[in-house]
Amino acid sequence: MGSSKHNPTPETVGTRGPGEGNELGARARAVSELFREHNRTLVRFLQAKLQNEHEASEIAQEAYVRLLELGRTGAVSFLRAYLFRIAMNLAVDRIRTRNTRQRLDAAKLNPPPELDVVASIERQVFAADEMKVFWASLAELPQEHRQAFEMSRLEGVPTLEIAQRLGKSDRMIRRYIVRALVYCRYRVGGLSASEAQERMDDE
Amino acid sequence: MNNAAPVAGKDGQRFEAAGSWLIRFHEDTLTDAEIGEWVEWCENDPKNLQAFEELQSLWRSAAEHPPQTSVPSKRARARPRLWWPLAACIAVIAVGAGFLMTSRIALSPRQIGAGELVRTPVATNEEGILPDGSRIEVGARSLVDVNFSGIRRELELRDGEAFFQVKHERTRPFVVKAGALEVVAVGTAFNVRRTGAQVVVTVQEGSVEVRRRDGGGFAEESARAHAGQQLSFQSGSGELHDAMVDPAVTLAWRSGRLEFTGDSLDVVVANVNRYSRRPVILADTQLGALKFTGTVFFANVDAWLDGLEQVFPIDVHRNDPQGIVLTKR
Repeated sequence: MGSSKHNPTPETVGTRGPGEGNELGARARAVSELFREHNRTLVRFLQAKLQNEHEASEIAQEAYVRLLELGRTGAVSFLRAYLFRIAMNLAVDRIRTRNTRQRLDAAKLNPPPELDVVASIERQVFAADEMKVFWASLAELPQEHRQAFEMSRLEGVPTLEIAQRLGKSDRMIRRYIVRALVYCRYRVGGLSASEAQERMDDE
Repeated sequence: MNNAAPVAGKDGQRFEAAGSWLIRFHEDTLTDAEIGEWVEWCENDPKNLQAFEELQSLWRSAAEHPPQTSVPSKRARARPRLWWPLAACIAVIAVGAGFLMTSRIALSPRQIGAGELVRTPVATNEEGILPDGSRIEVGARSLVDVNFSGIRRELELRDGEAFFQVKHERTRPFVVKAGALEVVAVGTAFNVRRTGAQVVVTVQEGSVEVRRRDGGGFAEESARAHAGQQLSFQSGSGELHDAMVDPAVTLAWRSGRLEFTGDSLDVVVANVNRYSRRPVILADTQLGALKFTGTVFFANVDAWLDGLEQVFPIDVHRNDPQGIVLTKR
């Protein structure tokens, strides 16, 4: 084993006539290139949508397969837009069904070698004691910041509703949540309360 | 300020922008153009994407490690970063040498620590592997306290729902506590749902022993449940109730829906609320006693509410700032 390299040529997208095969090979390469370039952004995008690393990688793979199957070539900008469109649709579908276990799609059973470009992207995990610092520093902020952040993140209340409850605008609530997050990021990163405050004021 | 000062302003703006995108992802449905704008922003400067990643991680970690005040926890442990099938993946990668790592590492459920408190946010299930290799799947808005030692595999379901696939170990029983009940397994698969004072244990595979504890922690009553059996306990009646069920119905939550057969509406609503971002509120307590049979899809709670209005003498008020309020018609 080990000596037989994968061969990323036309047979991965089906056996066709010679001329057509070349074109398909070119497309496979273009798509593969596209993935290598945007893989990280794509996976983050899917993680934000799905809140689940596992599913995000799965959907990224599926999007790749779909893009390969797409019977057109086009400008790179077109393909990129398409890639995110496909990924988004797949993510929405997945949220609708959430049936991970029974979805053994073709991509997983028989992954084409180009799938290797969908690299593993782990997310940085903050340790429990780092998160202790996080929550402690959240308490250093004005009351509304803390309330807005906790309602949004811990109770899953939409910002529009938080706005109603706290008697503020939706825009304000979002700003509180963002500021809370950025401030705590500085504090977890080791800045003192006053240093973190100063950086916020710089904005 | 120190020598980092010149970039501080820029960094601040970068984080601010990253945070705004994060909130928009969380709250809104972005259009293709907006997503394109975000991709441009991420890829124009690698620091932008990095800032987004950092805040995204913090955002997730905040839900996984909620503040400790409401839940006293004995320990502060870093979560081990080891992924279970790492060894297998390394073997696979060795074969495909020259290629990038495949995504299969990220595909595995995460490893859960021996003393971890697992808390899931609303509408998000989570899968994990326990230190003994058993698998756990935790429903949304649930709380599981893991307490493993050399002699005991113990977990407490403090709230919500979880499914366990237990790795066989003769000498170390696998114990799940939930309210007044204690479920003891050796090697089996079962589901536990805790809704307030009600605890329901459903066995999918093998068998478990269910014990009811009195206030002092002694077993007052115990029963054995086999595959397809369901034991439920309501602290009001004080009795273990035994029924034969289709485990697939109980386990539907792992596939995006909740299925109920003759469950009282208050129990149904409490479980739906683990998946609904807007809470459903029963304004009249009498409504809680109505018996509901049917399916609720997480992605379409609205359809279920429409159905309720037709089947029961209920009015649904969707515009209340408190949530979706159900009143008697």
